[in-house]
Amino acid sequence: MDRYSHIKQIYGDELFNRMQKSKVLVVGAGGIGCELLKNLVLSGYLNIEIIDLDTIDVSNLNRQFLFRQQHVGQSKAVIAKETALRFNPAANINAHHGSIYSSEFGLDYFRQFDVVLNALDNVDARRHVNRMCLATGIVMIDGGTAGYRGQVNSYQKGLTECYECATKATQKTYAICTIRSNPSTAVHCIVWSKLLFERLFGKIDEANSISDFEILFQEKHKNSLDFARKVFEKVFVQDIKKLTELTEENADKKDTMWNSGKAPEPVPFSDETSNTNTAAAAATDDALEEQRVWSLQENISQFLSKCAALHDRKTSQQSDLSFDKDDDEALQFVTAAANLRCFNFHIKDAKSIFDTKAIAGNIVPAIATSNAVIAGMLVLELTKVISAHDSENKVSSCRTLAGYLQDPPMLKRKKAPVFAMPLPPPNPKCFVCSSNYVTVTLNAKQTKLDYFVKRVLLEKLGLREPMVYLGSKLLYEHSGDGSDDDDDEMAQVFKNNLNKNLTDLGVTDQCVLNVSDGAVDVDWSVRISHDGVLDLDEFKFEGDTESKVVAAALGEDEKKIPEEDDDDMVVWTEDEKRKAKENKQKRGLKRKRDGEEEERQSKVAKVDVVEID
Amino acid sequence: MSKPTGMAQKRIMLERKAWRKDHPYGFWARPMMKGEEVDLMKWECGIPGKAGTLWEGGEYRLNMEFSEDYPAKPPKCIFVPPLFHPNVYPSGTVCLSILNEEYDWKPSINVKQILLGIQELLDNPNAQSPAQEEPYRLFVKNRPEYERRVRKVAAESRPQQQ
Repeated sequence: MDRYSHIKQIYGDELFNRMQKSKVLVVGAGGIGCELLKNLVLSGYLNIEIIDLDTIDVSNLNRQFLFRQQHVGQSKAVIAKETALRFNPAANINAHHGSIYSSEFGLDYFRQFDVVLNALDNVDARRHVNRMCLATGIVMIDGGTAGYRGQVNSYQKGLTECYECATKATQKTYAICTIRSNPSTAVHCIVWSKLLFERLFGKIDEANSISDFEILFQEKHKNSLDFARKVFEKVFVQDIKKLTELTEENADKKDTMWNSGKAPEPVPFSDETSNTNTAAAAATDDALEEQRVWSLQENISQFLSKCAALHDRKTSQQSDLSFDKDDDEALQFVTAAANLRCFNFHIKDAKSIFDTKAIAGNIVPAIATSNAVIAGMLVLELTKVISAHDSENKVSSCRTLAGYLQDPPMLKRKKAPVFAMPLPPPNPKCFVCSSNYVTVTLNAKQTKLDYFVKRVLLEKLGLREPMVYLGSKLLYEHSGDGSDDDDDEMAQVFKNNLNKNLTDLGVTDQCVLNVSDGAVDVDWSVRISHDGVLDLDEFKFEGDTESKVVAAALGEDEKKIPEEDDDDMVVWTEDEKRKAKENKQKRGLKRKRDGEEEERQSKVAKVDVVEID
Repeated sequence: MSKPTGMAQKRIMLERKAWRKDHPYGFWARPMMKGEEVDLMKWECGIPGKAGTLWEGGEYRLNMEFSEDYPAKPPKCIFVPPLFHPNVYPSGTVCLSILNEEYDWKPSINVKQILLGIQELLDNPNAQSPAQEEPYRLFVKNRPEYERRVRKVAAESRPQQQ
């Protein structure tokens, strides 16, 4: 019987043929990537390329089932291909053991695919693929899981939002005030405790200001336990006493200023309580020991013994330690210190080793079933895209799919384990997909920044006061009217940069240079494509020199800019263009003066400029 | 290949542009040099003491460090050298609610507002969040001595002629 007969029955011959002819790129051969590759070859997708820069680790084997023990240390992409071929030997899989950022996977590489499927584990790589797909117009389908939850999103340039249209939730950080002097949750104490670890045993970091240990470090210690006791006295007794004394003058506010509603209290400490032997006695072999919360007494003795042990380790190794959640002593130290600090601040939520490990190590469990569900959905969405007859809109039947293997904790009502939402439209304020995008091909090894600024930015794109940056490096800034107070040193750097080749400035093949203008509010993303054959004074330009109008980013009165096709756009005279620009600038200045700050909400609002060359 | 430009860098460029067009008198702010390069993620700033306050006449140097998560997260503001002030940590880090993600930070707060907010804090310390022992103690217990010390700091921080 034909391997595919069931699929042909479901999809029909026409769609099945399309599937067999289509070419897809899978980025990532990890948890989702393995499931996905298997699903693809079993569904009849034959032309697949897969990229992953990672090698197989023992810890992958519980869920990345295309890998076995004997594969540890080998390329994920290569082994995934080999195993998947055994599921379907007819598949034509090309595996790359490399980084998706590598210039060999440039725009031309992306253009050969019908769809790009993301099976990635980090935001940066997703952003990169997003930008490559926007630049080439290729549909991207992205899958991701976090514990029991997962999501699949489809993206097509101009029709849906792009991966960067919406802000992604970031990991919470805590202000030093909260951590240092006014914690209110066990998490604050664990953050503090990790800082204490780094301060005592790690590399010297001036920014780590949790307590002043200079004097203590200079003192002579009888032994490491003596050191541990001094640390204990300092952080859990003296520092706490100081904190309360500081605020005693505000008698009426004495308690209310503390997050816990009560002034902090030192840990009772005496020779008796500091007896470390009780810890050894209390420790059992019970497997659940890790999940038990220590008593105050146990925390004290654990802290002292682990602090002493770590101090010994640092001295004997003569090197700095860094916190590792899998280092038992380090974890025990952090657990005990965090719990003692909880005691100081009346936080009734001391944690077990097990819980501390999850919080301190930022552990989100990877669950094989979640990955499998999401990989299945990825193939469903892929098949919808392949089935689309409208080549302009391939994602019309796609949905954002969210899967919850457990009830979402924030919803009281039971939800279906999987639900679908319409794809959101592009965010007109998105700084990625609404940016003006062009590609410039030149000889990056020989072209100087000066030439690029003059010929490409000023002449070709019509910028007036260009500012050029690459990632977080500011490469060049037009000096403006000379009235600003910037120092000469910076001006000198820009001057030097103008005489450097693009390659020497870190601008390599397929790099995207970001360009802004000090005089008018317009942004360009310029992809540099290196061509060694080109002469110094040659460049090829690809894209539209007209900057896009972003009406939605403007106030009501400014929305009237006509949206017309290029053909019948009104041609402005030089004079009109100049006036328009001046007005624009005036408006910009006025807005600033009024202090009427636009609701940016972490989205960068772009103000338009209509320019016709 | 370098990391792709993110929201943080785009926003910092907008802040840079806005600052160059318009900023309050006596203040300055600019990206810092990192070797031979100009690094957008770290700025150096100067805040003048407000006229009519103890801090008048001084210019206080501050570094502003942006993270990749800016503007979802506030920049870290550090006085260099650390400033004698009840709400400045011995490391120089400023403790101010608009710079705290858990309190009043909003992504729409711009560099100008941050620096003006810190200028305001100079003469209006918040007795509820002590960060540095000595200035806090003097501020609460011995106001004349506190004022003497602040005037001394101001006198020592006169801006160098540019």
